[in-house]
Amino acid sequence: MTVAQKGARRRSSVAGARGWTLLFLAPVTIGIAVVYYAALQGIALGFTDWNVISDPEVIGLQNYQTLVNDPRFWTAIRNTMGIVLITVPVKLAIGLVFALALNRVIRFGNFFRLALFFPFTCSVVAVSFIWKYFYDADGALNRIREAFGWGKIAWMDPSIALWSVSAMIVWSGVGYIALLFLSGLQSIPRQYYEAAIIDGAGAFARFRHITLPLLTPTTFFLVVISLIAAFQTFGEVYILVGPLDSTLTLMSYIYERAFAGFEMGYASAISAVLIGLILIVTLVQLWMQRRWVSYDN
Amino acid sequence: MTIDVVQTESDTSPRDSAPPPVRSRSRSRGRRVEAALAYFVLTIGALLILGPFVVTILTSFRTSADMAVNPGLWPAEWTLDSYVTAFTEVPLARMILNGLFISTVATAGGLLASLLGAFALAKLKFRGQRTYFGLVLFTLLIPGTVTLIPLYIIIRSLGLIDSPWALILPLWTGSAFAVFFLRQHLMTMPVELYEAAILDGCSTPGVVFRIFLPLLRGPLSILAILNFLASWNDLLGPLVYLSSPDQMTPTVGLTYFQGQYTSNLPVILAGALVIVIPTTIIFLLFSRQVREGLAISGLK
Repeated sequence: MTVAQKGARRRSSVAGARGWTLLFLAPVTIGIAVVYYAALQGIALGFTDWNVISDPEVIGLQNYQTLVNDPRFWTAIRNTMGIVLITVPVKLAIGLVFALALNRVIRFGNFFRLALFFPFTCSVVAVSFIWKYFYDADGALNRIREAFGWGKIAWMDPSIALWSVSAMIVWSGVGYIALLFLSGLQSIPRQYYEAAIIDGAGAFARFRHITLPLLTPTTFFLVVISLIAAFQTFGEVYILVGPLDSTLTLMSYIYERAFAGFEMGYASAISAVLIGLILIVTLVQLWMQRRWVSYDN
Repeated sequence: MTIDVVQTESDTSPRDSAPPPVRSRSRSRGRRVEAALAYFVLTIGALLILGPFVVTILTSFRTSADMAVNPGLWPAEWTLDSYVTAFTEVPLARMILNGLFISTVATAGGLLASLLGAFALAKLKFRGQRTYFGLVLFTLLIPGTVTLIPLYIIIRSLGLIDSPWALILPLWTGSAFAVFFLRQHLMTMPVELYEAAILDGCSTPGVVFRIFLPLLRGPLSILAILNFLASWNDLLGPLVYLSSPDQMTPTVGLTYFQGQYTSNLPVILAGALVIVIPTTIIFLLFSRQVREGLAISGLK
């Protein structure tokens, strides 16, 4: 590259670019290589017994056999499914109501959007500590109840702890759902409603036949990502722990086994089950979307 | 049922016979009722969502003694003791600096890597480009759970446990989402920009930083905010990789409080509010970018 010759100029810039291509792609390549390596390693570890210190020992399907007979694993499955089945529909229903309301207001719209969305940007840890205080036997909720002369409630009693945690998850995540529904609502052409009004369609009919069908792509997206997030619930139940494993989730069980017990093989087997569950639910969603999601254009 | 609704409405105001003024008046009354209902729903929602924060702020100004004797939510006497305790008894200031350092350095490096990768994918030509892009995109489908334990083993073998670099280096390889997002934007920009600059004697990195970087300010700032929030709010990462209080980030540092101050709730709540301040500032300053960023990424 000392003397730039006329005709070779373009070729040399391309040759130079090849070097840059390799350099530019290097960090991302390392990143994806690690992800693929780690994914395969994670699956492989599920077939081993490994405490990190000694060498991993291949034990075949033994981890999975232990899993089947591990009552805490089944508790974790039950609790995780419970959180999924409570939080996802409730979040979507309340979020849709908020979105419809946000779509109607003209003044203070920005304030309401910010207010509803705020907890979602806060650290899960901070939010969980705040709710820990609210659910405490002597905490804010019971103080409010006492002010009204009502008795105290043991919010974190094993029988209702999962509901309490789910309420917190809904509280912190509903604003996000509302905002995405709102942008879905705003993309529906006004003419559809005007035409329906001319045809004499009432508010409910308009909602049922225009709003709901045209929102199905947004709904589908929100169902999929909320399900995936709910399956991996961790931070909330790490801080707001219900007694007697009443809020043990698959993710918190993986964390406990891997990083408190250093049972990497066993924890990897639980991860594999969790991923399997997420995969199945996502595939079912993708398969079902043909039946209820209408893509207009 | 829906047919009933349609019919009742057309019964009360038949399309062709009802005079327009009456119709529009009844419709505007319907609008007003809807709007009132909307304000009612949103006010309840805002109260329920912001209320706990207000109660928490009030409680953080109380003493635990006041809380024990005084049943309500209002402080009998106001004090900053909890904040003082949070900063003096626990290395909270240190933790905040750790958190800011990790989030900033990780975000900056991650964006640089993603930008370079996206540029190579959008504007440079190489063999297997489509396959490579496919491989990048496919990593988005691999859940973090499966890589958690193997990644921990890699970080451990690099001797990075209890070091901020354990949290920074993995992010320096960029993210598949950022690569995808930046590539989409780069694709809309003419390749002639690149070729003309090269012919004028500009180097390839020069083109990236002097021509495309300024054009990508918007998308890059969305990604920066998003990554900063994710990094600052991360719990699992610091929990797994950090152990000493001096290395801790504030998010996990708060759980470390918990052991020491179980009986002193105001201190824990003061700490919780302090760690929410940086993200709140970002949220209020860049609320539009935060919303857009989370909406397009669909993350968290």
